[in-house]
Amino acid sequence: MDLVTRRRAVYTGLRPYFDDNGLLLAIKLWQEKYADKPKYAFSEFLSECCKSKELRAQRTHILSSILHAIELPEKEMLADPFEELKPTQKIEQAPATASVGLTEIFEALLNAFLSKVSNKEQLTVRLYMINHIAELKIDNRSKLKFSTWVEQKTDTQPLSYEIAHMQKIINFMYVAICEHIGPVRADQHLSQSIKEVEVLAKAEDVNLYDFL
Amino acid sequence: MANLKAYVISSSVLCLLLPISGMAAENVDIKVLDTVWVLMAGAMVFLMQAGFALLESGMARAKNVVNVMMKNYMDLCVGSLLFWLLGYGLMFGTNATGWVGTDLFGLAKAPDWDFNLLFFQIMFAATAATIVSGAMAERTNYLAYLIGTSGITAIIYPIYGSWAWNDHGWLKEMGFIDFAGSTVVHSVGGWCSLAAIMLLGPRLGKFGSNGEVRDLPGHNLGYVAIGGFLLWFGWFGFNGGSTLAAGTNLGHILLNTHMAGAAGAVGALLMSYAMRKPALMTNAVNGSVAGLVAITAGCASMAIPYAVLTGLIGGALSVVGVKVLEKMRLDDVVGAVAVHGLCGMWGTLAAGLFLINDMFNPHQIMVQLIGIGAAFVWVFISAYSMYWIIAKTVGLRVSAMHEQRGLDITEHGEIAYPEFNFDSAYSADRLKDLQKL
Repeated sequence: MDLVTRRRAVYTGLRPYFDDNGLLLAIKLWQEKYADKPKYAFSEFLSECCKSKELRAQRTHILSSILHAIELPEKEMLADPFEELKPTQKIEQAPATASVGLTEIFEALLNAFLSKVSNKEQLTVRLYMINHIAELKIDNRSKLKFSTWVEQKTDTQPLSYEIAHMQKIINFMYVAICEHIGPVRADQHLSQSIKEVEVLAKAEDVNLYDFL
Repeated sequence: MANLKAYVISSSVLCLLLPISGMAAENVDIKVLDTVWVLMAGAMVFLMQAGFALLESGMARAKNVVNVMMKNYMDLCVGSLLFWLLGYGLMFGTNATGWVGTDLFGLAKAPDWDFNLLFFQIMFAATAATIVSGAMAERTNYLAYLIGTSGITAIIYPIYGSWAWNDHGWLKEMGFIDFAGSTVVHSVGGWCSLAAIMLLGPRLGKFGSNGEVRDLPGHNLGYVAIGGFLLWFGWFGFNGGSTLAAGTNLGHILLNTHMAGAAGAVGALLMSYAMRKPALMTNAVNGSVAGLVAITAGCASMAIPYAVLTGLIGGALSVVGVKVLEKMRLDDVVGAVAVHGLCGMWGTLAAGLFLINDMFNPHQIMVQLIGIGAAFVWVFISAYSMYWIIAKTVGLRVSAMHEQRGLDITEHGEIAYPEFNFDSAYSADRLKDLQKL
């Protein structure tokens, strides 16, 4: 299946669940990071693009929708989204329909921070965090939840914690990234991640400095 | 007519004055000249504090600049008070045993010359303490650091100083040569630094898991250069003032000092090229400081060519020493252990090797080695014990959260460059939003 057809299939599967802006962002994400990956990578793709509570709750349905759309004949798929969606449409960072809370901002910051390192470095950073999880001074249940998130398991639960724990987790990730790429780049990545998520945080009246 | 009158009057006044001034020149007390020189030299050594502050903060990252400068600033303040209260007496008081002085504490009434000496020596004590601040930069609890400074200026430095510089100190009586303090000041600072960084551990991310050493560049190389210049200038007072007299030998001493500093920078660059490294400015400045450290012991007792040799080797050693420490995974932010500890050691040995009119005298060399060894044993053990106790009580190292935020924010509640931290996660206008740690 060529790229355009696969893109049409993913678009067809996602269409009922996302608005235009969110859909364009999701397709862009899929094309950049997941286009050349096998079907089971859709889980990871959806965990990355389904940020709001509503979308997260429907992830299983969305996954089924995409897998179903892939099996459809071409004539039953929707047109290529890059032709259908107007290119002049302004891309917003957050899906317009979603209400994003503290947990989602926190996860967005974690994802943004981690995504700044290369894929290879990300693997070693995740491994470092898993191996040093005992040093994270939060309760065991929270530690387990975070560990599951780090390992990118499909049954990952939302990282809903008290602010103090979120602060410790951000710092834990900061230490892990420092140890792998040095503190100069780690500081730059943290700063860039904050700038990326700041708009989202302001829209939801979340003070990013609470995590720092 | 009026002009003629003015001429006659002024000429008469001059004629009256000249014999008086001529008589006054003959009667000027040499002690006044000595006093003026020693106090001026002390003021020059004071300026070295600014040199250290600039050099160390220039080699630190921007988010820790205030912390580095505050350490240097308060070294002078805390050190001055404690050295006056306790250290000066231990160092220069009546020393019946040869080990420690027993009077002159908190000097309030004394002959004028004692006050001159106290002023001069206070600056030396502050120098010894401030050497440590650079090595420990970017991850040390500020209060813990000040407690360490107190221990150094009140006890560690003056006790060794009493052995080497007190008239009845056991090292001095043995004939130990350390004219202005290659060991007494600089190695003391260097070994305290070594003890501290062994206990502190490296900065986050300095050393990789595969043995790689990451370069954490300083935020302002201009500061480093200007700091180097100020230190060099102050060193003329440091070494020249140690004569405690405005004598005709000052030119030789200052020339030895200057030439060693120059040779030190050259030695550092030559070693860098030999190691196939670029000509880094930090190495050049550290090299000249290393040369100045090295010549400090023998600046009054060496011929100029040997001063050059001493400085040249000191500069080369400073580059090698930094690499050795990195291989041992010891993180010294400014190279204090190499520049002050190692080169202080070398300079003290060189003072024995190149003693004018008595070169390579085995007995003198042995005495120098004893003095060097005694310094290391006393200073390293006492400093390590002191920092160990501090670590167990107040806490020596800051938390990872502190390192993330930067010590300027966590220890001092301010940012050094509030209008220029574009790449920083933390901005000055939002400091109040941060939760207290």
